[in-house]
Amino acid sequence: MEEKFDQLLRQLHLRFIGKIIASFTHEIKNHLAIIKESAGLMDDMLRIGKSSENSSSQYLDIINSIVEQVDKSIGLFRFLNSFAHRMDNQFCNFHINESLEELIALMTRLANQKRISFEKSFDPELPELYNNPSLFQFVIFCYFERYIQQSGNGNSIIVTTEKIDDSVRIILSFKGDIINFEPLNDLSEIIDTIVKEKIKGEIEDKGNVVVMKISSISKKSNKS
Amino acid sequence: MNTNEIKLLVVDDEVAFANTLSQRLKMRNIKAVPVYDGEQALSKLKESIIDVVLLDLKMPGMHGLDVLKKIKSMYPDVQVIILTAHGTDKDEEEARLLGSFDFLKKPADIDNLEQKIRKAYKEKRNIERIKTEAGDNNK
Repeated sequence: MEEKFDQLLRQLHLRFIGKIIASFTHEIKNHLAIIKESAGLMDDMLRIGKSSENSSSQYLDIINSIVEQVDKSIGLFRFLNSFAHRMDNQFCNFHINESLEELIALMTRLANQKRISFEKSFDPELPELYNNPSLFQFVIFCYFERYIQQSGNGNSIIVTTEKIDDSVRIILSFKGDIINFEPLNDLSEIIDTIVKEKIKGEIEDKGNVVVMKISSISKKSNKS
Repeated sequence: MNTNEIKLLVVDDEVAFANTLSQRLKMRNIKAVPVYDGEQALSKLKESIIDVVLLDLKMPGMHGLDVLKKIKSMYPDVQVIILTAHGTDKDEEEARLLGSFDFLKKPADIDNLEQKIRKAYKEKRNIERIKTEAGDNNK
């Protein structure tokens, strides 16, 4: 039974990683396309364009646009690199805010397709946790994905973190049109098992609001 | 055939990309106008004559394939070239079934892109000529 669950979890986890990589590569391809066209425009201006008094400022604008795209790409690569390393060890010390920041950055393109934005309200004083960051991100991803898929244009997903003693509470809420979010169906049970058994937390899904509590797990319990 | 007056719509939610590409195409005597989503593209088509549309797929609001479907049903002669960073084989097949002229992936080579736009324009002119001749024969 547990073997079957682990197999299913591996499949869903792979799908999650695939979606994040697809979103990332799409974003990077766009940045590269802008860089290529900007460089091409400078080339055109030198070869076939007529030079004018405004040429210098035009070149500077184009160069700034290239630098901006490179900076955005570097930021995304940093997030993807950190996302990939979350899987180096199943259990490790990590910061909830950083792992959420990373997931939001990597899912922004998916959300943008529906004109959905993320609003963050992070408690800066959260304790570092010893737990499974990759599974934590997977659980949050499932709810983000539900909000993105089921909602209309122009709404916001609000992500709040709070310190509760040695634990962290994460609240995902939805601002915008009133929607009766459908439950995650088959996924609900899996998420419940992940949260309760794998990362020893608590989760409550009220549709428009999802509340999750997560703490450090002892090194002894992660072996079970 | 005068291909110096091609009126092209560049539809892409990446504003910097749409603007820069339009500028480059203008330097090649193509009257390129950038718009940033499907809704803007459809309203531009309604208010002005457009020969060729360069269309992104993944955009906020309407998906590129839905925009393509609308364009082909409302302006069947307008030729649509898909230019996307996210094109899968399935997207390509669907775009072709919906009547796209070509399917290119970003980043595209400007000379190749220009060539495709001019070919698409010729295709539109040919269709218009055939329709005119058929109309004349029916008189």
